[in-house]
Amino acid sequence: MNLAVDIGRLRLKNPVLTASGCFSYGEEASEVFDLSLLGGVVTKSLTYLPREGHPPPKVVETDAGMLNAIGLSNVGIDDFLSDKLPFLRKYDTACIVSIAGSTIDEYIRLTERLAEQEGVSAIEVNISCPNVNEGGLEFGAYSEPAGNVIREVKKRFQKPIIAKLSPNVTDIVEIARSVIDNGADAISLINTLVGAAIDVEKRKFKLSNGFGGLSGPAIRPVALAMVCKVAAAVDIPIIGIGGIMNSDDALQFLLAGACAVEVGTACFIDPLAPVKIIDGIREYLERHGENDINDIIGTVRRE
Amino acid sequence: MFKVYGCGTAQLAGKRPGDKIHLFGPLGNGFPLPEKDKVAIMAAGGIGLPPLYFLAKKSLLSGMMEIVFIAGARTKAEMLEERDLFDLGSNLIVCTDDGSEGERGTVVDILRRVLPEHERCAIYACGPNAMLKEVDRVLSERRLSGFFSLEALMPCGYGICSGCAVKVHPAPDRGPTDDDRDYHLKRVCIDGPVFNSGEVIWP
Repeated sequence: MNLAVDIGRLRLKNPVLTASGCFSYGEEASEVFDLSLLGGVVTKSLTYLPREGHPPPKVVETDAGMLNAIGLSNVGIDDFLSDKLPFLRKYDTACIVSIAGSTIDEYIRLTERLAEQEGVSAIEVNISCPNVNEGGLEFGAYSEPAGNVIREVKKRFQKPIIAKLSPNVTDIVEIARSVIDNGADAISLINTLVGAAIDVEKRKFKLSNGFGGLSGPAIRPVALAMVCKVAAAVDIPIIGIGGIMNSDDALQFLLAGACAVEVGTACFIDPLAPVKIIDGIREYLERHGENDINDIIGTVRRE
Repeated sequence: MFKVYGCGTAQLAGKRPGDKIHLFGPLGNGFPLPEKDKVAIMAAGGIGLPPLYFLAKKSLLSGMMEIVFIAGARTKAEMLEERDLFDLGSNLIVCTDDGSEGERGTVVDILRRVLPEHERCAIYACGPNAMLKEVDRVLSERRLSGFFSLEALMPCGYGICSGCAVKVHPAPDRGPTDDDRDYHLKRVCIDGPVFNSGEVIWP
């Protein structure tokens, strides 16, 4: 049975990736299972310098999901290259490095450093973090700046560029077209939805940042509809993200036209969630007499 | 030992002997056991009672000679029922904010009284942040050190999400950072839950 899928020139052994920010840099989960089982790891988004991120409280539970305002806490590019990347390279799995800049120049400098490295399979360009003041959504919310970032990154990196799109826009298809016109090899969607929660006793926001990003099963139907819309409009590989908790959820995204999925919030509940999803997809294909995952991708389309 | 706090702990409380649950752990660090020639002073408030109860039990089993256990809660109803399970005699001091059980007063009040009575001591504290903040101040005034176990809401519990992070003082040799914060963040789940006194910047 074939589970391998292609994201541009990048072949994944199976369609299940871990979502950025939900797997750190892989070290913690590697104590629970063999990372080589995964289609790939998408790292926590890197900025050029390390970032502490927002002060606590950074997370709050919501109905069928959670809000986070981590604020791009990360080790920075230097520590990533000297410490985290060598660790990830020990595993036979794709290493997709997520980058986030507050200026186009920062995206460029990050890309130039990554271009020198072996072992980086692809770059996922985070132009959709809802939790930082500058950068993030400033780029991802409008098609022109989104396209500009992707064009500059693409010029400097030979392997696939994946643009991670925000759902917090009027028309996600327009943003998708812009990043594709500027060289994106694939797109991943969706990042979190902007949300808020208020403690009525204390009369203040539950998150230190006020707003946060909503993830988990609550956003899955929204994400799935967006994948359907984008899949109908564009012709490059799509990676589906948003509240995927089990193989049934993952299969919905694959049937809708995503070539691969990223598993995020589910990893918080169960570190083995991505592995169980891979097993569940395999079992589904067997049960339906399918020999190749690619035969089911995008087979459910709206009339 | 746990407190029913939300729907997860409520479900757990509904389990019966023989039921199966998934358990992921152990996670994070733990208290270092006290050296045998020291007096272990354990300051436990409310939700912090069970962890120190188990530390006391382990310390006694490993031959620890003397433990002073300060068990505090807001009211009698919140006091740990199992506190008498080990025999500490007069070295178990029970206190409640409203005086409904034991002495009237807080764990910090009792700690201030007890500390001068012991020369070589190892100090352990677990409880709400407001209590730990006060204990930290008492220790710093007296130039003593100790160990604090923190609680936090944890989305993942094993270090990947950074959601449970607490502020600590940044290392003096910390290089430049992108967001110029006057704190460093540590994850309660795997960098803790036990931190050194003087380490945490209390909210």
